[in-house]
Amino acid sequence: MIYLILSLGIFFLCVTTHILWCRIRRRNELQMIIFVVLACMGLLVYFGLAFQFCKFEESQPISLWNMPLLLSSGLLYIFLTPVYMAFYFNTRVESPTQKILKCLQGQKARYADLLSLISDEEIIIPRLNDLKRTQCIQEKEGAYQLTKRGYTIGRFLELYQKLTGRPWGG
Amino acid sequence: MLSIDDFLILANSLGCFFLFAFLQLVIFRFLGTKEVLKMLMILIIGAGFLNILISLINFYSRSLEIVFVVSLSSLVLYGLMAFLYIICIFGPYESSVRLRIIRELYKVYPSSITLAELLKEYNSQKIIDRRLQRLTFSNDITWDGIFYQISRKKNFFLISDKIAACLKILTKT
Repeated sequence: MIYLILSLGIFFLCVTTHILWCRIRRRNELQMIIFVVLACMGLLVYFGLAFQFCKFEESQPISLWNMPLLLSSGLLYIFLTPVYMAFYFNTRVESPTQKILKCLQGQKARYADLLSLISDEEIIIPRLNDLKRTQCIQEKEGAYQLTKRGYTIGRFLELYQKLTGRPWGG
Repeated sequence: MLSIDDFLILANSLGCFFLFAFLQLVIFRFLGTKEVLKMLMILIIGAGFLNILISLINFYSRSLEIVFVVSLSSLVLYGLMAFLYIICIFGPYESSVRLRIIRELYKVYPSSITLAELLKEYNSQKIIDRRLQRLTFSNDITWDGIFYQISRKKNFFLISDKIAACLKILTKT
């Protein structure tokens, strides 16, 4: 238990620090890197403290309190980090599925109503701009083409499609 | 440093995760877009039950509180692995608009396409249609022939939306 409490405690400390950081900075951009730094520091602290406790408790009989779950607790911490980041990222992005469900909360809607929720200008164009900004695609004389980076992603998607046998997503 | 309890928890959660991923790869070859969400839930819950069962078998001779902590740790680890696989690999492949745009451009590479050509292949109507199909088949929403309506008050998307909303307030983003 001590290892679980230690890892979860440090994780929540990192999250709290990150939330406070975001409130203080008040910038209109995601503060992802700062959380990664905090999480790495937290992981070092966890393993440092856990190894010390491990040496101290070696001679003691195993009970619920000192169950030797050093690695499981460490992995729990490591997996919780990207989960928090995914939810944090979600504060900025609203997927089409979330838009549909939000529209349907507490009311019925026709197909046409749902269709009017998103337009090409709202969903395709910003994503094209995002892909241009991240240098996955380039625009030449009004037409779009993949860059080397975009081509590599496309190749990976093709391989994944062969592996899974799934039709194209989107 | 790796104790036997630790090893059993890790082996159990990793084993169940790989079983889930393997079954997902095999079974999903034969599924259409609309069956995806429902089958995903069945696989996650099925492998989760197996995870609990294996924990109970491995630790049956130990005290009740130890069995509880160990089963819960193993289940949470498995759940996090499955969740990360879905949000980082499976989900983006299945529903990311950006990745679909890349696929459309990859299809014609090294030549290029105009916005009008791209929108002919992939547009907001197709995006809405695919999501409505998936949500209807997984019973998250229902369609009576005219109207769509939420049938389940709690589903993954709504819960995730609520967590994100809380986080938005907390971080003042």
